Amino acid sequence: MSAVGHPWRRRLHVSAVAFFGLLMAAPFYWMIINSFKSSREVVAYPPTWWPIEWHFENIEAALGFLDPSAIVNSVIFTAIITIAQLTLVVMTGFALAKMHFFGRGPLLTLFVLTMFVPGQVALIPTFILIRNLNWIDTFMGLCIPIIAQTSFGVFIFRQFYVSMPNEILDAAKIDGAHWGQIFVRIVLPLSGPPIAAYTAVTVLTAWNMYAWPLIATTERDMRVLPLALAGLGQSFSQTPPNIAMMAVLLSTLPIIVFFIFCQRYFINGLGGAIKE
Amino acid sequence: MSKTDTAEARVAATPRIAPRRKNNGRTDSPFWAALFVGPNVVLFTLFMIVPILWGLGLSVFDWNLIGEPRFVGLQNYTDILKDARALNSVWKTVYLVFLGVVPTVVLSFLIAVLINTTFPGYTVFRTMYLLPIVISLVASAVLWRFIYDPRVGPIAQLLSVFGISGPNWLQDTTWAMPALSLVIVWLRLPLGVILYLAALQQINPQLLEAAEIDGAGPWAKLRHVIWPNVMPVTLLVLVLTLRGIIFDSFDIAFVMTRGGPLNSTDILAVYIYDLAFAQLRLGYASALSTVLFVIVTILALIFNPPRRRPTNGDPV
Repeated sequence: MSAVGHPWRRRLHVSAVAFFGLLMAAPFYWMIINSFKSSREVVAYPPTWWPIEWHFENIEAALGFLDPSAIVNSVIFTAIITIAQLTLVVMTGFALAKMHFFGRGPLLTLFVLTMFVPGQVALIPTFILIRNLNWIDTFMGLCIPIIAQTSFGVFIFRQFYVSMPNEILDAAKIDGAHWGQIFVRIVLPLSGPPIAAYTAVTVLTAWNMYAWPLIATTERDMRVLPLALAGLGQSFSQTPPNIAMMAVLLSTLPIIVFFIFCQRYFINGLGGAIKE
Repeated sequence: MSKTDTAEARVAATPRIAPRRKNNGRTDSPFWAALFVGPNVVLFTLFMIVPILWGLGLSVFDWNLIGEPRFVGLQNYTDILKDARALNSVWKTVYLVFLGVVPTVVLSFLIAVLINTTFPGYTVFRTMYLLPIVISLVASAVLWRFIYDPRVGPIAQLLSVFGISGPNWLQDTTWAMPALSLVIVWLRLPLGVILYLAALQQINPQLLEAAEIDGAGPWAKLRHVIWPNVMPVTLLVLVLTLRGIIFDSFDIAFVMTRGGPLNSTDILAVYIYDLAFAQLRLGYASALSTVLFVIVTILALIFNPPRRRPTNGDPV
């Protein structure tokens, strides 16, 4: 609703925006203050709404619980998936939009149809497949089935390239450029916005992924961050809550920073979807 | 949030597959097409198509991963009807969907209307509304377990100010499911808000002015101008939330309650995980996965009959 009207109504509106915003962010506030409390204060009754003392040594303790290998694994996992999947979907999307080859129509239909089959139908057989390939507890097993989930990306990029004018490509073709040159020199430089949006969302999804890594890994050194975190969540008796909260904060922090910088791409990417 | 949602948001909103261009009778060199499409097609076939078909096939076998698979026909499906835990988990799944979908849609609409404004410092507050989009399901499950703590949690503390002694949310068979759904709603609001915000900005301001001239108050404008104009987005948010809840709820339920107390949050995704990876009843688990797929499709059709969105006739 536009906020024109009486000044008091405007003030009321702004206060409401602020109030509910703070309410949405309140769990984050709770996470931050509790991650700096001492292990006695964090379980004290009644709870304090501001730490009496700030215990920065909790950071070190939480990193110990998360264990560095999980952090490294998460970075590798996220990077591999984002780069590999992006490469696949951009190229396939482009080919389906602009190249003429045998089987193009059926291929597009295949990608579109599988978009609507829920992943859980494929989960069990994928596990059996990875197990038979002896890929349990390897990055191959962890990453490849996720990279293969390309149907949405292919469709998005195909839609993007369909609306790209052919004249741009034709001019290059007349000059004798082959598809590889056209793609690298002309198409990619024009694909910034959808690539940024897709990257933002893929990084977020991969960093937060839980179910597949839970199934595809058994060893401690192959864990990704959500697996390490889930262990902390099962029981606060083994890990003091202040350390658990610090672990949640530390594992979320990189992605919060990433989000604040890339917010534009999220909002444009998601919101832009419904602009015709 | 999962990428599936966002991607789907874009897909469902894309008007229609553009009409195929005329081929002009030429075909590009198969070399380049193979190079661009080949790697993806190979991976996609091996790790998506094959598993999907395999999953359907597996659902008519009895297999424990070690012995020989035994063909049992439709027995897995008839067993579901005799399995009290399966029926309970079907019911719990549907219950969670309704507890999650309706508040998500209503609240994200109201929030979008509320924050569709601007004032100095506005972006800071907008970021607050969108922040839950970044936190993982697992991280928020750990965080909310602590928030729900009956002794030192802030909710219990606030309630005690009003003299109410709240239940032990996650250990109470009545409250555990609503408690989970609150976390899910919190996590899924940002996507709905973003989609509604974009839709609100598409509304022709002249419509609102005309309504004002006709003497419409804020409520009348909301009810008769804004709401009908964002209807397509409402359907989109409904379906996205539905799918998101079905697929994301595993992380939340598995970490926060493991299906307990007394199976009160034992949704299908948790039961299927238990069957497949703890009990190794792979055939039966596959049959239940297929049932889950059917349920999602039916719910999607209830929420969003295809006839109302001719541009997007897909069932899910």
